[in-house]
Amino acid sequence: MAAEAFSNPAYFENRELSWLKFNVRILNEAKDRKNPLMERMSFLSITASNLDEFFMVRVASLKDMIHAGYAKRDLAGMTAKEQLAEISHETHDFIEKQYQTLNRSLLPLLDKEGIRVVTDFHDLSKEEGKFVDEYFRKYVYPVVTPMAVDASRPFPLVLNKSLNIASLLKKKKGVPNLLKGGKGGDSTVFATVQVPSVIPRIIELPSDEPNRQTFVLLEQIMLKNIGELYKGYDVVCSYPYRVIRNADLDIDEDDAADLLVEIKKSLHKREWGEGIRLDYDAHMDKKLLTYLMKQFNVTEDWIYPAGGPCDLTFCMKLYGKVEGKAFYKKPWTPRQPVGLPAGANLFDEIKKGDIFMNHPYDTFQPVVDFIRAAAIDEHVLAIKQTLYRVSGNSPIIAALQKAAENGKQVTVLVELKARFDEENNIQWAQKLEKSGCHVIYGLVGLKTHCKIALVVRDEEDGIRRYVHLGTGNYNDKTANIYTDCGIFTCNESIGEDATAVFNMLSGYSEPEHWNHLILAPIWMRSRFYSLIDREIENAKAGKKAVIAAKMNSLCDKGMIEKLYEASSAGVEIFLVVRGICCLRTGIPGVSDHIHVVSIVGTFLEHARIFYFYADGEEEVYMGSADWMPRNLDRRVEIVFPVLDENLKARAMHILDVQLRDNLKAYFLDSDGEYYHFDRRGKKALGSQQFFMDEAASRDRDNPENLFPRTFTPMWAAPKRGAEAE
Amino acid sequence: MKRYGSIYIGTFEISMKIYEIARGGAARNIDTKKKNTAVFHDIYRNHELSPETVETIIETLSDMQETLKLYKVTAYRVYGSYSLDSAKNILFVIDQIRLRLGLTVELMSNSEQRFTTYQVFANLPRTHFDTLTKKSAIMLDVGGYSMQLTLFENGTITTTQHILLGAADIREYAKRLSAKADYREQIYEMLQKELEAFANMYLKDVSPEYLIILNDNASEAVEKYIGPMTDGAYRTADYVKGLGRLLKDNLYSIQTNISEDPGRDSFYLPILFLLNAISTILPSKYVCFPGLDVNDGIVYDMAVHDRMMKMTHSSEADVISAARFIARRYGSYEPHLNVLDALGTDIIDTMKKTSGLSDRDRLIYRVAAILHDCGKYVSLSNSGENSYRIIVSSEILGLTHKEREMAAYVALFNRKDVLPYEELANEFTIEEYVRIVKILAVLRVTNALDRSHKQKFKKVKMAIKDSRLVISIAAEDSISLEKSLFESKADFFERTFSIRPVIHEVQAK
Repeated sequence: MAAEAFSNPAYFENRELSWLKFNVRILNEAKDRKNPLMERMSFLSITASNLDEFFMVRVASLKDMIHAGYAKRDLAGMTAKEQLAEISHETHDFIEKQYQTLNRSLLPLLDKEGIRVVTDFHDLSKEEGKFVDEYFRKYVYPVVTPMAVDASRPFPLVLNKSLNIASLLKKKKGVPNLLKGGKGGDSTVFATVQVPSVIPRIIELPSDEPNRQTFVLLEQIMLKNIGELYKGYDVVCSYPYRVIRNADLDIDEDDAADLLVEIKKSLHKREWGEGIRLDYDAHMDKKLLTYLMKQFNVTEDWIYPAGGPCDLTFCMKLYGKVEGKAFYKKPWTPRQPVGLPAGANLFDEIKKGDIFMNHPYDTFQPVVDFIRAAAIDEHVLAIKQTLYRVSGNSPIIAALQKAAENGKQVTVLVELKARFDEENNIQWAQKLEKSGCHVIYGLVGLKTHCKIALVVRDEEDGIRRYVHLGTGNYNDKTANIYTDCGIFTCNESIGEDATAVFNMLSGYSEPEHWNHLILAPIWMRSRFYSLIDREIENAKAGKKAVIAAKMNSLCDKGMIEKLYEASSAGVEIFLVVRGICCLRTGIPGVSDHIHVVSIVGTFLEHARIFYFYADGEEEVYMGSADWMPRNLDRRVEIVFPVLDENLKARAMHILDVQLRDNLKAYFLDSDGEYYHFDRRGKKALGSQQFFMDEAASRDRDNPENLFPRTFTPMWAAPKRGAEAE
Repeated sequence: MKRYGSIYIGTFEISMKIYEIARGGAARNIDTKKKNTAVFHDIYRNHELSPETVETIIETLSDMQETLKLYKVTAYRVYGSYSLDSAKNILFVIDQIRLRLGLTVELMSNSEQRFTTYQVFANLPRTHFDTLTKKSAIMLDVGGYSMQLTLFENGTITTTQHILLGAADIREYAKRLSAKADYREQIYEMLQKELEAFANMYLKDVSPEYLIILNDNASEAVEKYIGPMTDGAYRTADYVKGLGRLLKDNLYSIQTNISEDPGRDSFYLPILFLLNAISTILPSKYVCFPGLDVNDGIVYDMAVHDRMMKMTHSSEADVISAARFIARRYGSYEPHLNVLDALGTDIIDTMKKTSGLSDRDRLIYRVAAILHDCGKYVSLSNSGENSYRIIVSSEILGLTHKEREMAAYVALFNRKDVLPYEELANEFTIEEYVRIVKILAVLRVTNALDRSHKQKFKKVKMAIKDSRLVISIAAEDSISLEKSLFESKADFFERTFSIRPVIHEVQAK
């Protein structure tokens, strides 16, 4: 088939709809009775915050496209308008399902377990009522700012994502009317107050009964006392609402003399972007709703009634507050990586051979220790690192500061544009600068997404470079919940490349040649194409040809077409794609050799691993890039080959086990939907649990025996199992 | 193990290389940085560097200085391309660099610049210099401002020519002519005109086996587009085809094929255009890129100086072969030159302890001796002046510009009175002036010994005895002509060295 034949829009799934399906898979985890209760609550919360971000960025940019008169169709052949219509439809359904899950399943189950979450203040007992009134007077009243709207007071700016309470007020008799009411002698006025973000959303009520806990939502406390805010007025009605605004960052970097200032400016803008979605209490007074819709300029399609508390992220706020081990998953303690004894000198160990880490099964601590050790090691001359998202009180930041104070040359590339994390990043960047680190704020026009740390050491036999390359951010907190891989190496040619990467990031030209690292946006795309082409040639020559790849998202047209070309040539392709997947499986002659699974588990699947059979040579690459246009064309990304045979086996083992997952994996069927596997007659295998068990039980003395050296993806012939309930 | 650094401010970019060199010569490049600048643009447009460019240079140098400190490099040098000399404010820029960073920037002459790269190419085993130049080869060192073409025959240099045409000119021509449909043909034609002169003069009986291109930026671009070399070289046909394919598009619309760095592209493309034209106009069987630049040469030079690396290739032989080639071109009488070369080097070697002449002076002497009467080709009456002109205008790879000028003055003063130092003070230091006069004294003596150009002396022995340089000779013919003229030359020699040369005639057997 000619290459252009693979570009038929019917062969592609729309990326937004594919993403919504991913959120459905997460919601399935919230529905899954096998998951502990609080884990289910947290999954529900994740679906809600995911959806907020989706609206702020994706829906917003589709709306921008329409405003701009952009009529081009996406790779699945849909216009922006068509996509929005589909999204509106799907998300209305989805949000309804979220509240069903909460109201019919999770809250009743919690209640049964003695955990009461009061979502309506009328349900409070007299005693409880007294407590919340007191709480309101003491803590809430002093920090809220109710704002009424009249002819001389315009509608206030309502902060993006903030929870608010809208009220209709009527002047009490005998009280002078300070507000200029509406037209036609209508004396009702609109007022709004923000539910303060400085006070916890969930407040636990005192209880004498053991094993029983009662929580009340902050907005309910405010609703109960709303009259206190509008003295002199009768409150006709009050309902919570929130608005999601356009938050897509669009910084004109060419004109940005100082990127930092620009980012700060656009952060400010984000809070006041165009209204994209209005969430409101399902019982809201029609008049009030119409008023809000008008103020936020939101149409019927983009208003979402909440069949429970607005903003479901409160579910996560309960996490940890609810007592009882049974409600939580068994905590996982990450283990010491194979080949790296605890307390050993990292540099000596790396010198002995490359080290592989599969987080969070393996602890992230060595990565922190790597920088810590470098900060105090007398032989270390320099530390260079990219930072994308770091944790609050990051020990890595602290170590880098210490290194700079110890006179090491520290160069840190802080990517300010990490979405929704900019404020955090600006703070770190300034902190690092103060301690004497050389901070680079990314490259104009490109987001620096690669994860690389380089330590230059002056050793007896000369300069030796120690490199950490990873698939995940240098964030010790998320490393416990994201699955990511990383390697330590002092391979000379990788060290050279790493030096060149940092030279490039600090504005120098590209080096004469690269040894091993594959960089986006320079030539990662063409390199992936040629790796796939080689498999195609082998398949055509009647040789075995296999590609297995694991990534977060697959939505690059060129890559998908290349995979179709490979499939049609007979290459067996196994993909583990967590989120968006615009590729369709099972199209005869196009994708019938492509198998896609998505794993949604307790840990967020985040590693990117790429395997090519290469006529038996077996090449494995890992890195920071997904097969998405932004990763391949608009970001600085690194994909690195796993050179050491033992390490290669480790990476292949991860793919192998994930492809055999029949518990938490969904497979993408030819109808574009995701299904669980039919496990009848098969032993259940959940890859995340498998890796935990493996890490907990492995024989540290014989690491070589741990992982098979050959990789043969085991593909259970996909048969639809029951969808998660 | 010692670390060396080199920073080079070129026409298009500032580059830095740091090497770790083990005793015995094993070298490892531990860091390389390159940054584009607007130096060429400024010089081309305004004949001076703009404040912005100066700021970029200083910032870049400051960062490079930090890198040198990071690797604890104490042995380093900072050089500027000879082309910087065309910026009217260069002295003040260099002064600013010194004041703000404490770095001393030395400007290289064209010959030094070319020789520095050539030297490392000729000496590193990995470049297979001997194999490449064994039969015949053209070595091309191309930069922003000019190019240097060097021809090798049978392993030795026959000529080297500096042509004032570089990538930057191509870029400017392309900009100016790009409105015309046939602008590429026009540029090509212009190039052809420039290079055909070289081909007609030097390649009549030579068909070069290799075209060796010393330009690591170009090698990078070529490798990216054509792929790596096989067995260290490209077949010219493949290479021309590959480059042609690349250049088929508009000169300014093919950036994406090579690099994401638009600053560099404006450099790459004209160089590739130039290389493409050169490989068609000066055809060879193979094309190769040793992948070296002037920084490699600077580091090599420092390492050799510190005896960390050895010099395997004799640059003296290159210099002499180039000088002889020039002498032949101008019809000099070779047997006479051979005698002068042999006698003079004998004198210098004999007087090594007392003369104060160095190995470089010995080389300058040899060049002066070989070329002292090449001016006769132009006119017999004013041959000294003409020799001086020819020597000054002939590039000799391996001699610095200053050294070439010294040789030229030796040739000039061989025929006329030596000018007092005051008149040459603009050009030479006192120490250099003294060296010129000493070399001249040797040349005058040896020239007198073969005044008849008949090579009458067969066995010559030299020795220092009682403040005299005794030249024992066995002559077959009468040497009365030589003897009669010798005395005045001996006076001059004695005034210079405080040693009097005397001829001691022995019976020829």
